[in-house]
Amino acid sequence: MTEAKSRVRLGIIGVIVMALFSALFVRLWFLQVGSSSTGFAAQTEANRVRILHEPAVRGSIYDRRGQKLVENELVNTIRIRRGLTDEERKILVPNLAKALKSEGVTKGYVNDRLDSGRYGPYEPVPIKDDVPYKKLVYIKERPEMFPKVDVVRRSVRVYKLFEEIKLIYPSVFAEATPASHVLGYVGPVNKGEQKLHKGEGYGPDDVIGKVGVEQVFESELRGEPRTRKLEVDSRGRLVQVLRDKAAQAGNDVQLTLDLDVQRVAEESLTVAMRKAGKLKDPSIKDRFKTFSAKGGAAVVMDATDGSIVALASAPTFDITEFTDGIPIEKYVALNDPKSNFPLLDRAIQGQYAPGSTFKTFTALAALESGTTTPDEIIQDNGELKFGDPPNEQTFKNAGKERHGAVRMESAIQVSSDVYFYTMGFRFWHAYNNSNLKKGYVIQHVARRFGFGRSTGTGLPDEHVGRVPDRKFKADLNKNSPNDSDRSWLPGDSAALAVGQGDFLVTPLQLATGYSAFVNGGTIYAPRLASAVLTPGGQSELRKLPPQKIGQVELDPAYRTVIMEGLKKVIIGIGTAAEAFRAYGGLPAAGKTGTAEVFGKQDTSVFVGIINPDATPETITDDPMTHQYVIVVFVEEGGNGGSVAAPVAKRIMQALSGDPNPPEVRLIQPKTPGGDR
Amino acid sequence: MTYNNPLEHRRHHRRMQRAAAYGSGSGSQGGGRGQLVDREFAGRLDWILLGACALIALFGMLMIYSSTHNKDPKDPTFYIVRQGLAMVIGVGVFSLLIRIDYRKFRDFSMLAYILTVSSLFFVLTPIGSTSKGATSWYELPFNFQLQPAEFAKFGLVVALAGYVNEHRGDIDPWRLTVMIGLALIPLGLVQMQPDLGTNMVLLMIVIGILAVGGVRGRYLLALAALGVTMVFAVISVGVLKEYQLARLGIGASAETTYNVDQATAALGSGGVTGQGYLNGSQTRLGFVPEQHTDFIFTSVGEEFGFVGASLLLALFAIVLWRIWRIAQLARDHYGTLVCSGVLAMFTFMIFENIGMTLNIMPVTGIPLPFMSYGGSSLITSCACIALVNNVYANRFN
Repeated sequence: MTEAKSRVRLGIIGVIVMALFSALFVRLWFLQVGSSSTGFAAQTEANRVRILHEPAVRGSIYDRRGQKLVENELVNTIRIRRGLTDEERKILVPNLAKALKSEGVTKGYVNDRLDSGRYGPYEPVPIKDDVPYKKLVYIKERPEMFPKVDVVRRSVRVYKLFEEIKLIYPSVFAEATPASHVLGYVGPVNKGEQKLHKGEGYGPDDVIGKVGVEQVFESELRGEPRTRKLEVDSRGRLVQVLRDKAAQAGNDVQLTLDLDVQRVAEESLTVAMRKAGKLKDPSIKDRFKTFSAKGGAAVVMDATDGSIVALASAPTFDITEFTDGIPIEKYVALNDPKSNFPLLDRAIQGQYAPGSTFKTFTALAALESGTTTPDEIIQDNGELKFGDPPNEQTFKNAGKERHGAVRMESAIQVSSDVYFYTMGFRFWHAYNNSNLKKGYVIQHVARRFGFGRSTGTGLPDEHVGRVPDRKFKADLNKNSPNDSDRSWLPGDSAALAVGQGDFLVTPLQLATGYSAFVNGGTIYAPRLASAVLTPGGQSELRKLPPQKIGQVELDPAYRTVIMEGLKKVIIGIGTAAEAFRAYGGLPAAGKTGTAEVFGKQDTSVFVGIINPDATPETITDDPMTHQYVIVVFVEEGGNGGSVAAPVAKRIMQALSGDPNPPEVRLIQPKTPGGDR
Repeated sequence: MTYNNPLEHRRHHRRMQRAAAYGSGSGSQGGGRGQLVDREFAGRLDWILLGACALIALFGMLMIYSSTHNKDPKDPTFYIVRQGLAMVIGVGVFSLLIRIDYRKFRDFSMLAYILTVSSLFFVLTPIGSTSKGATSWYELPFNFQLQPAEFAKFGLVVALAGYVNEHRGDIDPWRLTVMIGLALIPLGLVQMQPDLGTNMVLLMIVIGILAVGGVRGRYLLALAALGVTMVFAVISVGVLKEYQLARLGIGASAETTYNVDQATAALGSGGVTGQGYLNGSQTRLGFVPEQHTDFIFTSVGEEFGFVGASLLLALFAIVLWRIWRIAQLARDHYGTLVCSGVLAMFTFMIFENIGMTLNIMPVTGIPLPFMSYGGSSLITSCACIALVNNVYANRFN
């Protein structure tokens, strides 16, 4: 053993120590300086901060006359606080199941709720709403039997007015409520919605507007939840309240909807659908059958400002079932094809061929393009041949009915197909001569009046219909072996001229397009609400002005010619004259439509117009002076004049001020497709 | 004067030169005896070493307060009062040990060994008490506990250095076997608690002393290999509980992963300058487990950032540098060996403890010297520093 050896060994140890310290230093540098601190900061923040939300009282919804359609009411709810010990749980669960047996609470139910991941670790677990007062007192007075049980008041959606309507009109509203589709309902927020509304404080126990007005005006109706930002330690104990923001009740919303008109629309649709089952279908293919009339829609739009006065879809459902979460078996029944999809809002999601109701726009296209003049006379012999033999095709009026010499006004009144086929072929010739401006003039007019695109109502899942042209056909049939399937053929122009073929619209689109025609060319986005009110509805917080989304060219002279024809539809030899017998309401006009659907009975369509001759000078604040467009579709309902027109007539009577017009009277069609 | 060691001979000359420069005689060290403040004696202490240790200990008090004052809102100073008390005892132990010439320890190394072994033995009997799965405490009155495994570190340094010193120059395989056998008794007793962390420290002391003691390189390698085998044997025999294995990085437990994640988050969120004293949320709200004991470094990193953490590292580096230097300055071989043992012990403890919070070493229960809450550890550290300083103070004698 030498001194040198010891010194060398100590030296080596010194070097090792320095190396180890360098490693620590480098690692420390990397961790604290070299890497971004935001990730670590987020982690420590997530450790210490908990944000709790308590929902505010949701706002009420009023109709345009100020009737409260939807409001919130406090109900007593039993909740269990967190931090239940095993012993407490052993006492609590059986006692609770026993006490609330008649409310359907079982041990398994309580245990499931307690163990469910749906409720946050700091939030109490809701067990049962609307517990009878006597039981609440029983539970409240026995904390030893019900440890950590709270009785709180929770706010839920109620529909007092609808409960009354159910009693007054049981034949229609026993198992339904008016305006179910347009109002929509609230339900527990799901994962997808929580993601969509990230940062807005939706907890798993919160409710959110699912469809309809409840969804569209969610941000107004919801209010500001009470938000508490808590700091907790590693054991989850509260250290301090960092912030406590009080809840702010949701604003109320004033709709443009008129509950009376809405109710009449739904009654009329429902009754007409029932009665159509007794009408005989005169068409050749379905002879001896009656109409199945499986579904329908009605839209009432104030053409003056785009306000939606009624938006109905049939069959419908009972909105009150959704108040506290709809039972699963009821929800399954609502989605059963046998019940014809009551949850589907046909007014915005149903896509139908408009049939002859579209002739208004064909006529406009023909006048604008110089294809015809108002006074040109066309001989209607009940059919029209096109092309040369052997490729000759024959286009017939419904039932081969001959209308004789017609000009535009009378062609509209009697709905002469031959007249409009003639226009269609003229368009096609222009198309064939590469004059696309004239060849596609119907498509141009249709798009100008809002067909083929969203109306801008803001309602979720609105469908947009389609306006066909050659490109559409080429895309649709791109795999077809037949070249002609991809070409724009004379028959395509002819079918489009009478609102058939590949052309599809939603009832709301048809109402929007007609409104622009009626009001002289202003396209409004359908407006559901006119104002946001302060919580409680005492005063107006903010107006929701009409939303003008476009001004289309519309020559007043052309409009007058067409409107004269529309006014004659409901009188004399008009296609809806019989339906409008004893109408007695405000000045009116209209157009029938009978749309053929492959493999199904015809769709019955009617578009009604109120105050067709109103001018800006005659229109005042009085709703009776406004112009309205009423659109009615009845699936598999046959002629427009026999089912849809009587429904529209009754709605128009309601708009004229009669809240309970005479019952719908359907017209037995004599000829198959008596009009187009 | 007779010199057993040529090293001592040469240093004697250097000492004489320096003594002449100070202008004091060689026998003057006894002049101040009996006085409360012995200026001459104080002048012979390594104040850099003492200062660094004192700063670390005070830093430790700050951090213990920071990580414990929220534990019991009614008694926020519970932990620092106890740690302060331990510090007072530590200073007392230091003052006592500094005045006993370290060479006396050499003569009593057998006694130190017997005391160490018996304290480790009796803690396993019903006299000792069990906490967190380890039987490693003596319950004292007033809710105080003694952890004999901590004092065993000091005991092993004194005893092993004495034995190696006695047989310096002729450590043949037989002597080596005896030494290892002697070392294995306390190691085995500690393993029965079980406390693998302390055992790894004890093993490092053995290796450090034997290395500087001149054991041939191949024996050292064999010893290191034996140590590794033992650690693995302990693990595979199943003496360790699952959580202890996970701490060593063998198998993963959610607990260990959680500890390391929280420690890393605390350090990382500190950034360059830290969140500020008493303001680190991980520390204040107790998200890092065992933060006042084994994971105390994370609170420094969180609240004082890279600046504070590297300052602390620098203080530890100063401490190790001074111990290393004193090992070289020691007037005899025993002094060098004692310092080497203490150096190996502190180096391993610091590297393992800080390394585990930085996620580069497995998690084991080893305290950070002078910093971690725990009286036994602090007092042992004070005793070890007293020993080293004793070597320094007597380097010319």
